[in-house]
Amino acid sequence: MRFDVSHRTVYGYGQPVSLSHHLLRLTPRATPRQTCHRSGLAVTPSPDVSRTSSDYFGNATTYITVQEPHTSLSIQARSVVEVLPREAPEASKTLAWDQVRAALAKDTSRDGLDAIQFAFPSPWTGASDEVEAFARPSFVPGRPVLEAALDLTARIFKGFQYDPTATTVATPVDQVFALKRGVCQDFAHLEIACLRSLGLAARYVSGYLLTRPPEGQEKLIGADASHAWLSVYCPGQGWVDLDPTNNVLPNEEHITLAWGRDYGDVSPVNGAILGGGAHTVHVAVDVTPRAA
Amino acid sequence: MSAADAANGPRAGAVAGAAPGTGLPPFARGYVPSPGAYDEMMAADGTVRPHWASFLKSLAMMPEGEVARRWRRAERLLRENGLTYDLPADGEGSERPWELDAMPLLIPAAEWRAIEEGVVQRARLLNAVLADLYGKQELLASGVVPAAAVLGNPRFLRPVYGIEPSDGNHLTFLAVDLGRGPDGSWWVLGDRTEVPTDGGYALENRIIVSQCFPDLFRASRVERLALYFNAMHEALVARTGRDNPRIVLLTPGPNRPGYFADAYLARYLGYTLAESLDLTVRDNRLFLKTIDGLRPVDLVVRRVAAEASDPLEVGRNAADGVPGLLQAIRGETVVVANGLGTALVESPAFMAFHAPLCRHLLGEELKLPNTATWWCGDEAAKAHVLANLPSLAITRAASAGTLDADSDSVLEGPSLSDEEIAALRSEIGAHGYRYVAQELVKLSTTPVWRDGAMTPRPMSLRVFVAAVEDGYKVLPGGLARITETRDTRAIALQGGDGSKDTWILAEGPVSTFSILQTRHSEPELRRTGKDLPSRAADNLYWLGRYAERAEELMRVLLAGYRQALETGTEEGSPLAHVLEALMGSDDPSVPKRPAGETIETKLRVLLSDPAASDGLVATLGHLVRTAWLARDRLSLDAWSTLNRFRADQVWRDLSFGRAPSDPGEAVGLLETGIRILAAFSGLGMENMTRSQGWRFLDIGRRLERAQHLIELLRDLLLDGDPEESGALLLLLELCDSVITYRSRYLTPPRIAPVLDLLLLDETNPRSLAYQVSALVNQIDGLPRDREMPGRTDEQRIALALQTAVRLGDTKALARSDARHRRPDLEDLLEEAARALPLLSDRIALTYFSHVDIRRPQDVAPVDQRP
Repeated sequence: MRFDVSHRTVYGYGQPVSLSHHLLRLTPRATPRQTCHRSGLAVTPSPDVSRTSSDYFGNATTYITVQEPHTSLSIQARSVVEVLPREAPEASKTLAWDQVRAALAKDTSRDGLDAIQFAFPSPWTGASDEVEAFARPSFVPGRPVLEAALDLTARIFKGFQYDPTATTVATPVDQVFALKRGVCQDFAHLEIACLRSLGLAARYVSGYLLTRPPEGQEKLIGADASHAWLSVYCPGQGWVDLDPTNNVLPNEEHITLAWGRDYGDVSPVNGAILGGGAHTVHVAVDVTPRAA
Repeated sequence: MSAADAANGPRAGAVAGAAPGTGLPPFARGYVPSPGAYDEMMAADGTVRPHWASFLKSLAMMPEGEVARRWRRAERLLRENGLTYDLPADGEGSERPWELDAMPLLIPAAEWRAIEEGVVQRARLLNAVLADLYGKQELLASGVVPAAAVLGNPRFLRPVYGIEPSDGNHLTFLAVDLGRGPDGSWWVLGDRTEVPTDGGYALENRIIVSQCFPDLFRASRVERLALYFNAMHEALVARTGRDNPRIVLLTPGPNRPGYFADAYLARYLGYTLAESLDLTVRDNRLFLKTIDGLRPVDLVVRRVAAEASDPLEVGRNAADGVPGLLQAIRGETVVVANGLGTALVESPAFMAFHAPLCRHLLGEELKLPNTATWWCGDEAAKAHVLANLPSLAITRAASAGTLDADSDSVLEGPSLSDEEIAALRSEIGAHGYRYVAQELVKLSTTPVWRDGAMTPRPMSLRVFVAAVEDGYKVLPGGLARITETRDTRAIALQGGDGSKDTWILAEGPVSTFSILQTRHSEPELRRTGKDLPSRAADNLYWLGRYAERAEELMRVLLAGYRQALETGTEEGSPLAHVLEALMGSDDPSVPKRPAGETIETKLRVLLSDPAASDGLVATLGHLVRTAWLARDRLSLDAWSTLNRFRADQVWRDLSFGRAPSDPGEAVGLLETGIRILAAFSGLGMENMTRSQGWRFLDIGRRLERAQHLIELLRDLLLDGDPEESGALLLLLELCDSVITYRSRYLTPPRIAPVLDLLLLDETNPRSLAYQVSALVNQIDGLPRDREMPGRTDEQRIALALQTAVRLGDTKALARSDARHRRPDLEDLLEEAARALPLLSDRIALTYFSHVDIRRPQDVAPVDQRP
């Protein structure tokens, strides 16, 4: 499937900002199933410095500096992305999760080293023993890793309520666990913390999800949003995406932007400004399927 | 050197505890090392080790009590210099004096060479490890370092990955903690690779101890420290590729431990001491915000943790660090030393791998062995540790999972209860990679000076290494650290109680090179000072204001107590009026004083009540605190002078609200206080170059004095008949102008001559005219854009006021109308009262306003559940 993706972030400042630095991760990365055909960035006011690079995880980054006083900053990213359908992995045929854990600790191959770094708690996914205890019932000894992970995904989907008012961008996993509420970021962090507490490798994925309007209604402009899910490492299969917010195996309608250990590694727009007073932010995302 | 070698040496000493006169100085006769530990001075058989012999002999030749006398002087020096390890900004609380011991640690040159070789190898090794882990990561692929110890380590900073320093030095500075085991050999206890500070302390200790025992120091042929710092400096300069680079020392600020060392080193090396708010990145280049605008920075000596260096990419707190710094480093427009990410190899887990790493990377055996260390992420090591838990020291290695990365804490196996051991056992079983176990090391002891005698205490030695042009160089000396307990296990040193100078005893003549001599590259001749950061200018300005404010207050109080002593105070007198005005705060949040307070009560409150917001205690608190913040810009003399308000017992008592017992004592105290302030301003006048820093100090002082004068004149001259009330005499007294008046006029104070002297006479350093002229001059000398035609706002305001004062006519000002009012005087005072605060605001806006607020921006993904 091919999509036009538009992601617009607009800041408004109460006082002029004399200097701002932003680090952006707004270019969809290439994956075996995903190709980014075109990608562009428009920033107003025009930045004095703009550099593109890639980070440790291979995500594309853009660093911008605006040095003229400004009272608003608009960052508009547009891209054309193609996502291929996936074959549903046979969960029951994946390696037993305890074997995966043992193999991971010894694997010094390139893929192994890439995977094991996602097996440890990271700044946003540190969690208590209770989180591990919550994960355990899905992971009985010898159970195929993907089967166990899908079970965990379903339990989070059923046991936690979607509630955008319950948490903020900085809510720790333990609190999400106690509240039993949150948004996509919280559920992804929680499941990642569960998997890592068992010694498995799991990474955080930032991206977009195509939404469909209710039957018979026009889709509203800007109604889509950025989304977050996770990926679990299954030797033989590679990384398999899981979406605990929707209890699905992401397929053609999940568009991957970037991945890392947690939200802190892949925040789409991260900035530091000088001055500014009170500020407002408005984000609008549109994901539009286009005829191929 | 081993105990056996020492025993074979000349028997210069004697058996400890033997009868007097056997060669040991009287204060060393009761010296008994604890059994089983190596003692630095005395071998197990009680003989003195050869390299201590001549030192002890010289000490023994000093007259009785001489060491104690000299050391008391040194301790005073330490106190006056305000040498503290940890001083919070409010000047109270956990302040802890830097405990320096009189007796240096002595190490013979031959033994030192071996230590040097060991730590230089260590620096090369750690640098090679960093280069690999932040580059090819061949160590992970080959399994020499387990991946978990790096990739699961929060100190592995991914944003830094791939940055290659142009000269290959990730590690420019390193400090290594060494201990000596019972067999006399040295062991490495740990590394400091992130911010190896404290070199400044080693320097300061050296200066104090060598001043205290100059003859002994010379006779002992002690290797000098200056060559090391010079080589380090030249290497830093070479790295920038510029002849006169701008180097800043980035410190976390005066409220953090190590600030003293930073400030001291910065001054010693001539670097600008900067906090992250003093720096900014524009056009991918790092700049220092100075009163003269933005100045490009070529090299940063980093004393802040990497997590507090660039909030955009590492760290989470937007208030810390310089956004964009990493981009500037990547663009190679600035060098940061140590590089970011070096904290990785200071993790205790790495201690377990140094020996194989050294073989693998350098093809050498480790010259200085590590304390035996096991990382429990390895199954075999974990099994060993679990089997021996009660006899080991356990460190939770740079644990992941929390937002604070630096949560290392040490548990001692022998002191844990059975339950604690069991809990630890299961925790290590589950998350082995977070734990590191080390053998409990027994440290050596060395003599310390206590109550007039030598006594043994456990010690460790911190050694400093810096990159130089052809490798690494070791500071010949170091910071010996001692504990007060007699516990010789290394663990006890975690919170060291004191320090010592370390003397490396050369075999031949020593170089007396001083860093103050000409460096090998010719400096650019200049008459102006180094860059003045806006923040430092702000501090100096307020220092000037507070110093003046304290003096004004003391003069009022002095007049009050003198009156109480001589004639008794009188309610409704001009003095009562001035006190009333001083206590009447405009701030609505300050509770009003009760009506009907006596003058005595008011005097006591203003003098000694710590709660009085405009009182002397609060003002002196502000003064010392501001001086602390500006300390890196003050001479040592100037700082020690003001520090008396904190260090001297009488002022300490006052700060706790203990008022002098009678007016006579109060007068004495206030006279001392005024003299201290006079000494401070004298040092400013005579010893500070006319740098921009001095200008801001002086501007603060002049503005404060002018404003105070205006207030006094308004309080005392605008109502009633000042010639009758005694107000004129009081005014002269408060303005320290009585003698000048009497030398000019034989009459009792009259309004016209007093106004002339205090308002219009530009030769009287206490007059308004003098202050305003000084302000005009100082403001003219401040940096500004010379391209802009005309005058700046500051210049305009100051000039207008100067003109108004110069045009003042004494007779007209003194003339009163039928209602005893002086409209001309009122107008002039009104104009000055309006202009002065305006001037203050404009100066702040132009020169201090770089100090901006910064905030983070972060947007959470907000999705919708379909």
